Amino acid sequence: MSSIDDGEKFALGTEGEQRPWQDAYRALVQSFEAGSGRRYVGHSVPRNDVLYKVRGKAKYAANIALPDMLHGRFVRSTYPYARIKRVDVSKASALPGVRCVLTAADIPDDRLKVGSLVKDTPILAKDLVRHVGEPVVAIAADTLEIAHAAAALVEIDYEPITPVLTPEEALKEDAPRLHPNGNLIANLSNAVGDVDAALARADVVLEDTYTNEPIEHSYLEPQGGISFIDPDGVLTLLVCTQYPHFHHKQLADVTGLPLEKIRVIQTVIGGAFGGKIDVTIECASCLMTLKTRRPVKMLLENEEVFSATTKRHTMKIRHRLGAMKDGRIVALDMDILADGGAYSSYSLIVAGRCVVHAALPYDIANVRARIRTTFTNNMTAGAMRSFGIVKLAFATESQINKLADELGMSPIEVRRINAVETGTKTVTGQILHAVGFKKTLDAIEPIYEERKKALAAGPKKPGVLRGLGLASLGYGIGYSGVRNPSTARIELTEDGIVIANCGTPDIGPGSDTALAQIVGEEAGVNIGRIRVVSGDSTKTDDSGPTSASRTTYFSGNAAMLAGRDFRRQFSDLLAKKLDVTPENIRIDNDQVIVNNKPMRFEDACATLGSDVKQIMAYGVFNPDSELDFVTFKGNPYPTYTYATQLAEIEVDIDTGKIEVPRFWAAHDAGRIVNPMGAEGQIEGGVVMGLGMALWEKICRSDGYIQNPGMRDYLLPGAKDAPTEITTIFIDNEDETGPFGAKGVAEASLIPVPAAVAAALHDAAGIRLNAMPMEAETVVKKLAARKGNKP
Amino acid sequence: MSEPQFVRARSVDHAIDTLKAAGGDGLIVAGGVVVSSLFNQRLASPAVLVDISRIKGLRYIKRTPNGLSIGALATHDDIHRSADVKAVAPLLTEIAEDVSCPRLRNRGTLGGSICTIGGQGDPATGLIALGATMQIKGPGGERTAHIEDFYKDAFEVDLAPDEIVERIDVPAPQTGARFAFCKLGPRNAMDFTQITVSVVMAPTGSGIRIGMNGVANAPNRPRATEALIATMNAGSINWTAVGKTLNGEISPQGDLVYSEDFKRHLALIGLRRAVERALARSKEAGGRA
Repeated sequence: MSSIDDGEKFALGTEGEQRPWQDAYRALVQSFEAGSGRRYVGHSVPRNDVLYKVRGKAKYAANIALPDMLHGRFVRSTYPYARIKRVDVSKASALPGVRCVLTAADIPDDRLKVGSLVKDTPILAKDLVRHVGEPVVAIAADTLEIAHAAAALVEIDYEPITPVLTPEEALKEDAPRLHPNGNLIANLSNAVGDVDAALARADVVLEDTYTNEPIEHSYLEPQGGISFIDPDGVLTLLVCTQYPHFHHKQLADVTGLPLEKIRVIQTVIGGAFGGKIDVTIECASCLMTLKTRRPVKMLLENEEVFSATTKRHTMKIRHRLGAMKDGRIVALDMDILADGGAYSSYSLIVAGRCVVHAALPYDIANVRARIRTTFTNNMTAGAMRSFGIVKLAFATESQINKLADELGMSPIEVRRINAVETGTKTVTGQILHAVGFKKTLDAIEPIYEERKKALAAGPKKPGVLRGLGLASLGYGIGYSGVRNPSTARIELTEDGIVIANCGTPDIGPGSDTALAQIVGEEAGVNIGRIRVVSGDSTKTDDSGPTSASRTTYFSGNAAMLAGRDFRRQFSDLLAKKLDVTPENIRIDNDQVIVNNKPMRFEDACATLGSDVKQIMAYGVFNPDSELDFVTFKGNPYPTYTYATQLAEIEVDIDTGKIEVPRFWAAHDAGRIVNPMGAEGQIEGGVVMGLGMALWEKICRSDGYIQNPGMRDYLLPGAKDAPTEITTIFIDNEDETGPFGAKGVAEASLIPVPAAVAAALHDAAGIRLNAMPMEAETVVKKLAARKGNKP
Repeated sequence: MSEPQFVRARSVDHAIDTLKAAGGDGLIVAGGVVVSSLFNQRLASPAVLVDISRIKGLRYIKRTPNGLSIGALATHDDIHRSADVKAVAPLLTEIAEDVSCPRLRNRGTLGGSICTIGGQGDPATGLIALGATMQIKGPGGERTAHIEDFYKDAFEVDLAPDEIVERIDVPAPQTGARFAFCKLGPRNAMDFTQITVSVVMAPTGSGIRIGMNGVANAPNRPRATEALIATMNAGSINWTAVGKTLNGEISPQGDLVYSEDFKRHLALIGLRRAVERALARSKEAGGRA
């Protein structure tokens, strides 16, 4: 079905079809000169997906067409909360070209509901709709135009119910129960020490409330996929997702098919950021394929992405910080009320992560953290880069910056006094290792001091105020408090292609390349002969989703172990074949050295012939992550990443517009596997953080999203990005990571809003506790401040 | 749901005939920037789509005895790159440089931009400030319209369903005239919610023409504000007084990004900045228009 000429992602093509791209990549990396020491790890090796992407040959779901394919479309709720009185699809079904009209009545009750953590989300709404945009009917037709026309013919009678639109309303005694078990999705808390006593004796107590607006992930590629039945009768789904294995299992539940009759393959993906981890088109598309026995393609429109896929949680964080005059923070108390929207999605994970991260990256003796997340009739809130921690950091880091001002101390010094270190015991009782947090402060300090002087001395622009602000973070890598192993399996072909099957798909950052670097380094083979298969649920083991900054650390470790196993199995096999002892065989630099005589790797493979099939190298990484979600004791994450970031801003006093000409990001991400890729993550994350800090918000009114599209949603563009983003990776190595690596993807964004808020205070003397920090608010605050002046 | 009939016009007259035959249910497409967006949003469903992009002789920029003549199909990029525009009316060069993004500047035409009734209208402000006229052709023949009179109200321009803008004539400003363009918005590119101001000032003194967009339902020329500024000394304009007059001439509507009040605030800031830039430009060597 797929042809390499069309540039399918590797996972989609056959061996032969993939060969031209593999050869082209090998030619590309042949000329790549690594420095001394390690051959691949630590070097900016070109990405293994770069050739077909820059040549415009990558096939996204939207680009894939199959013979006889139908086009699917949802009919969605037009009310935030309503009873469905009647669904009449007779006119839609009668329209020529309509092949399938699916409603909840077509799906058995015990298969109707799906979900990542809690199965509470109907594939198609039955009896009730709980948010605007909830799918009620799915249609498959010969053309998209017919599907649209049929959608317009569907008649749904609703009986509107007054919606619940804020967590405060949802918590009221007499609030309507949005779900059978009530309106609370999460109610988690943890306390260590005696917070009240510590606050009572603190020299300084700072109290404030911090808020944010819902955010759209704004991946450029809307959700989409194609389902079909392959010649072997396997229900196959090509879909842009962060987690093919989740859909594989989910589809078994939904269709009743045995697992071996299902296959989920990730297409080339145009961004995800946590937004492609829940169910959107997958179940409806596959059910319509099973009904019609024809391929069905479903693509969301941009407006559907904005109005009917998960958003970042809004949180109201009440925060109290107590400290002594010497800068020691003695107490932290935070109470969070979060809007989880219509269905549970990843709300529980977000809540758990918030409680665990309450004090990080600081060592605070008395900590109390509580989060309550409620259902509402807003769009469901779900996973998004940082799982809530960007909002925590906005609150805590802003409080710490306030504390520094209050005490007349440097914001760096206050952080240094309270910083976690190797050996620090966290609020969950975990003893931290490989902590490079202070080094990130050390890296930023001279820049901060230098820029402070430069701004004070530098030429003033009329009408422009300039300022500096910084913020830090500590972030756990991987899922919170549960085991989430990754595996890797390595196979070999007779002509020397090393196939690394890793279970976490590349969602854009280049993780397939990082994994190939690790395999190449450990196995001793040229990276050009490695093909990473990471997005096929039948070729890989379930290794969890690509999320939570976990791929480099978890799958990287698995890949490293598999690479080691590969080297051993290969040597053993060749030894047997050549009748030498395995100790006399080495693989190094893509050569096989047998009794001190070098042999080309492909010649060694040819010598082995069909015996190469006996090689089945395996690596599994399953660190001991456990957390009791009642006592909040345990080791929730195997490692943590740290950072300190510095923003330099310019505030236009007339227009309130904030520009960020310079930004510095110092990160402890352990040993960096691919500096170019890691820098890309940081630069992208910084701009994403600036978007949240300054512009982005989903505007809502009565449960309806008012700016559902890129036209009205203010995503920063290239001209809004800082002119200079300087990335600094501090020297640190985590012995538990692959070649010392940790992870970096989410950390890049977390400190940004707090750093900008601090810079705004430095520049203009105003503090904003609500994101985004909009120009109009800045102008009003500046005017108020002027008015207050004696 | 029915797809529109697609007609590729061979000439202006062919386009006019086709539009006339469509009886008000025709839509012109030139660069496709706006039309494709309307279609994607399912906001347009014309019976006939008249493609004028291949009509020969509509894409040009010429110097004339009076100034410039710009064909309706000249793109923003054409204008940006044109040495003639730079020589005669560099204000238009400056505006074209910052219209949307390069891809849209390559596709979007000046005629399309002027006739589009929506938030976008940077070039219109410059043309108003420069006193440009439009050559419009319809079944009854040709007519000339001042661009400042072209915009009637939101979604309403002075163009019959079977008329086409053929060209825009831009009179050369006086030698030594000063000009500037100012654009204010939340982001630095690609925004619809923006206040744009163009000013052209006499070589000396404070005589001024102003074109504004984003502060009313359509691009407008605040004449009372012009008249007031003209009475003031260019070096000491009373902006508080100007603001009061301007406020009476604009009628911005609050939206998801800016409140009405903030738009009023920004309108005055934008005007002040444009005037200050224009005045500063007179001091620059080679500053001319």
